[in-house]
Amino acid sequence: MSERAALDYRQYLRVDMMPHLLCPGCGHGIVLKAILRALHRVGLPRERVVFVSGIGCSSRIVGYVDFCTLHTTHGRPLTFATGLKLARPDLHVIVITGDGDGLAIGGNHLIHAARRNVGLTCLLLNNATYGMTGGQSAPTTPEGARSANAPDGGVEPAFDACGLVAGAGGTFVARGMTAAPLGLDDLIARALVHPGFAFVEILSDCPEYFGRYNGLGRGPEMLEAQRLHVEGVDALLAEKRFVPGLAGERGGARPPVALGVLHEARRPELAAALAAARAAAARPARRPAPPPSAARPRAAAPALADAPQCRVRLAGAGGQGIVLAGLLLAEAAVAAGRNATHAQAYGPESRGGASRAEVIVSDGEIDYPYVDRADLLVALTQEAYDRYAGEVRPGALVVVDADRVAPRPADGVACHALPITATAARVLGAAVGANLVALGALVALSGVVEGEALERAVVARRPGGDAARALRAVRAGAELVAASRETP
Amino acid sequence: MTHAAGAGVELLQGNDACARGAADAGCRFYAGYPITPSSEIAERMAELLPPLGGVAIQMEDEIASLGAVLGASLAGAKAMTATSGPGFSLMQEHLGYAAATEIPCVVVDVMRAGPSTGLPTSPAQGDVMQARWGTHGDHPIVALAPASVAEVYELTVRAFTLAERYRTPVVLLWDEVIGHVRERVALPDPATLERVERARPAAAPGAWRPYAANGQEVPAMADFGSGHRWHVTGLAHDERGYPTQDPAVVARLQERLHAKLARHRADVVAWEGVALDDAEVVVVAFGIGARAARRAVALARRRGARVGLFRPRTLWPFPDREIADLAGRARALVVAEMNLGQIVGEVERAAAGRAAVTGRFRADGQPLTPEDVLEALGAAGVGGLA
Ligand code: SF4
Repeated sequence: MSERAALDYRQYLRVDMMPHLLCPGCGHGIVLKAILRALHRVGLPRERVVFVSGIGCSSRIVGYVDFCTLHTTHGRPLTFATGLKLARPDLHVIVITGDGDGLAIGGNHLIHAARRNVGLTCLLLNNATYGMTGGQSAPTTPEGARSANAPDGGVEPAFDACGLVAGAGGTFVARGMTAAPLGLDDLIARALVHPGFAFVEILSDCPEYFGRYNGLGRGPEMLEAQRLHVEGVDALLAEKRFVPGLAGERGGARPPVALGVLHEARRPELAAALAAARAAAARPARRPAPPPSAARPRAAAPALADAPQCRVRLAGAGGQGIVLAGLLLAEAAVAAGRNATHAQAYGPESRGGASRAEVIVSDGEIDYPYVDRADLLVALTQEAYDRYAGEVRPGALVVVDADRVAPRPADGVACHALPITATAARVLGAAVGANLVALGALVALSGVVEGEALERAVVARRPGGDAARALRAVRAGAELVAASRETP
Repeated sequence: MTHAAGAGVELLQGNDACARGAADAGCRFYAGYPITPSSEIAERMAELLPPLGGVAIQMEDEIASLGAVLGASLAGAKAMTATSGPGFSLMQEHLGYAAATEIPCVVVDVMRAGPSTGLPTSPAQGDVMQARWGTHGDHPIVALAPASVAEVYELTVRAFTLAERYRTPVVLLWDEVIGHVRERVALPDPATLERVERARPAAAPGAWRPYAANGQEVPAMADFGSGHRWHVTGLAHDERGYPTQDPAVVARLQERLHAKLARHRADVVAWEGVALDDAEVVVVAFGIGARAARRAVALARRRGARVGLFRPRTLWPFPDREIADLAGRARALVVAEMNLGQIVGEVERAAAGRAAVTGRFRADGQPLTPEDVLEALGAAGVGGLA
């Protein structure tokens, strides 16, 4: 073809990086030339082509091409490539990986890149060995083949890279071989223009190790063996030239390896899908308008704090909404112009277990956000009461759920046992909301914040998505206090 | 004092403040993997970034998360990831890669109790040395340690400034308490923030040498796809970015990488002192530990004790000169940290025997308390505290 005739490889190569480090007869050089021919043919804008590779002999070839090139860590090129593509969807990202890089240490990234359908071209150069480290077994080493660490032949089966990627959701999956380089050009060119995750497994050769360990000869002989292998085990057997274990020894004959485009599908490419989701959502930025002239708070108080504090501890079981009650209290205080902190302690479970929230309200700086001994305590379970009833200050006010807690009289502590769960059930028809009833009662009893400030915080946060319902619970708590005052 | 309740004043969680700071600093790419107690950062970034034209993605693990962040940064985006101890362990490989290749990035580690899975929901400060030495080989690193929600915001913005200015990974370290505590803040108008971008090459593509610093320590960096073609590798490289094993070239690279931060120490190292002027005994603490220490110092001062607090806001490079100066003036330094003794070694090294150095360590999943610090002050000979 005319454009092939016009191709001078040097225009795409970093000639000042030569000589390259590949061994004589290594298949990767054949692949490199095929890539350049395909790129030349497709005519992608050079400044927008980016090569990304991992670690291994195959990955080193990106150093020799004159594009933006990124030689990453072992197994991880697809992770870098994903970030590049999402940050700059207009880039054409070509990932060069090997069988160890892409299928062993990087196998997880390969399946997820395929699943996400990241719009890039991934070329996996499969020479069935770890060349750079001296010819150890790879996930693609055929069962029975010898390697540096399998002197008598390995026992593990080999990965089917194309089957893996197709199964994981890759939308273009093909296999080619260095023994048929012109066919490679076509496959790579098609992969380059595919709008999604395009994967080409390229059967390459490592004469230096795999060839030597398995008696396959040098580069030319290995190319011939590759062709025979692809054409089928029968052909290999007929030629009486095969890798020990490729057939026969352990698993019986295997079918020929399929070449060409093995799988093709269309579904949204990741960057495009994200852009579409962004446009569909078109949510306004959540950030509230900046304060007109509000003084910026200092990173930390320069002076030592000495303003009086009201220390509140809310305790109960996970799932009772303890943290939410504390949050509403702190938000009410801040909205009312006071300073507040909210700290929580929780276990690993989403529901159940002990739960605790601590709120400090002050008109000055709050140096430490935890409560040692509380001025106000709410206990919604017996366990919480038993744990914290002793950790209060003289004159403390304690609110317990009379439906769940049997309080003990204590000197200098005002304990209010109120039917909190029953009230929640009466007002809301469910025990959920006991936290809000208790909060309403606590605020009415203590005046730590104005009742109105609490109600405003409830309306602003809309717990459970229903402000009216939450307000009913908070008010029911305040009414419990009023009722208990009338009937001492 | 009564706080103005005006617009912009809000009760904000530490992890939320981080996401807000990142977005305001110009971060437009986030990649992460869910892990307690950092996950709120990912959740907020997923809300904040798309409307700003950015991307927030959940990757398959933390290795992939930092890999994607580095790829996005090479494409020109300010990028961040967030995790906790176990995930931070997985990120070490790419933290080293970022240091070697000089790709700006911000990595948040909301510290929980370890080792291993440890106590996933409990605070700790056990990753200080991991931040410094977790990846192999000598490498420069910056780590910042805020102690309040407002400071989480401020230092997240600062982290992007330092990452871009010095082309370095910047680690933000805070404990679970600082991540989850909610405090009253009034965030600044983002328009008033100092927004720093990495220097882009002034030279034309043909004339540009990617790792030539031209007499400075930080070379200009071209976005991939901008017309400047260059090679990035974690192998030791020359000024062209090409791999090299030439000892002289490798030594020059190492020297420059370390000089980047050493020569600009004054810009990078930040700390806060409380009541240091006449202090005979000084507590050294950071994160929530510094909040406990601040209260302990306030209580002790009320009882007439001459004590103070030194709080590193930058953990790496460690403020060793400042500690050395303190050691020349104070009788004793009491290091309080939520681990079994990590920065205490740095303090001992800097004090060099001129002041007694003791430690109050806590690694039981509980935050340091003011009582812990008071007890340690008492043990250091501060009288009248009981
Ligand atoms: S070791 Fe094998 S794969 Fe590596 S360059 Fe040599 S022949 Fe090629």
